[in-house]
Amino acid sequence: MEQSLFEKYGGFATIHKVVEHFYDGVLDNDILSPYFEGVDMSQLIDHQTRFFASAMGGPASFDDGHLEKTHQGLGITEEAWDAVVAVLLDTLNAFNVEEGDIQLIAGAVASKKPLIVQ
Amino acid sequence: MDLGDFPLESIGLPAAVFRWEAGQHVHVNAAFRALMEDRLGSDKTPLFEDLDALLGGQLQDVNPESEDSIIQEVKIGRKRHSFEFNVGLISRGETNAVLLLGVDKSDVLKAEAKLSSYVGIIEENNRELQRLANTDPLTEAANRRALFNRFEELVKQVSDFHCTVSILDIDHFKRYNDEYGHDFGDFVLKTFADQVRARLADKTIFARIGGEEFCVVDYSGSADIAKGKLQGALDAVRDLQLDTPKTEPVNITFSAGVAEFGKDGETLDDLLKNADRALYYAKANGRSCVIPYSADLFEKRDTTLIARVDNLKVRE
Repeated sequence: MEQSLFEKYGGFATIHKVVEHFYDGVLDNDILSPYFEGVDMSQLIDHQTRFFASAMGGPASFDDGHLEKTHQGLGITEEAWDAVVAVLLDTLNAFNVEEGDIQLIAGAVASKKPLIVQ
Repeated sequence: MDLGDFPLESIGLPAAVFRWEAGQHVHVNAAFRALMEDRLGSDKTPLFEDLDALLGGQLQDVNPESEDSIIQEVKIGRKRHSFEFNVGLISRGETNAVLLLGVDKSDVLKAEAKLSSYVGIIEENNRELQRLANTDPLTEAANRRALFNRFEELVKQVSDFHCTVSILDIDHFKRYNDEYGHDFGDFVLKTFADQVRARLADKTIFARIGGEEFCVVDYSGSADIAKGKLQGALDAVRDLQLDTPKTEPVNITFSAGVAEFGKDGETLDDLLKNADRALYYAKANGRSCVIPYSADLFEKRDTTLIARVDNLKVRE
């Protein structure tokens, strides 16, 4: 079986740091932080851990129905989507993820856009 | 004791002292004021209820005598931090005097949250692996291994255990495969499994034990009810019209042999063996029927039947 990006970049040990970086990036962003106002920190971290593990082909999987349901009614705009993609790219770059791998991850995430943006 | 004299500034952490009562002044140190600067004026002495509001209304739920703590999120600049505020009694009186100390637990709580998230993912993953190891991927019925394990568990766990063990075999399955291809064969298996499953009660194990052979362990009630349910499933399957890759739709049927726990065996191996004998009889007896096992099934000297069984042996 082909090695997933999750394994290639060091599994949970790396995701741990990636989530930290992403978490700071999201909460530091004026467009994104309001979406997480009042959201419990452990819930937010759980969300982000699953997001990254899944995007990198790790064990967590985002089931599309669930993905759509949890984002429904949050009023996620194009602008917010672009902002989160920017934080994602910044995070992946910070961890020296190869350009080709970044494109793979970005492609996987982009395919979920219609489920998330209203 | 005048709480205003308490050496709060000597404490390096955000701290406050006050008497535990509404309307009482709360003395805070510079670190506390800095932490709460957005919501606390720079010189005003807050009251007990102001402090309660700063702590999200959690203070009033705390018992000052039991060394409780409160977790409250506080923004420092743009960052969210989780502070743990510990409450400790410093003097008892008509109204207790307490010291409130805040510690930034963000890193610890974040690490805990990540750890619990990983554990959650790994547990989910294990459950999924477990499911895959016990399931036939095509029909999502249990596989042979899971059937035997669950049967063992039931016998151990259910007091006064009773059940029927049936083998269901799709009639002329080979013919569908040969004539319409393996994809159609898979479609037949899946449709059959869905139909049968839909007619079984909660207390059943439904397993695929061979190519087109399935086992139903029904421990929901009497053997008669179990047989009735199988007959119902057979009627439902018989009514289906399955679209084939060729022009004409086909009907499918199955034959079943039923063995009863206790009467026809105590172990799953014995029960399956006898259910299989009854199934064999059903196949010889024109198929598309449900036949309960009985010891004298083949002792009836029915020559036509024996001839049919022999004929079947030659062909299958």
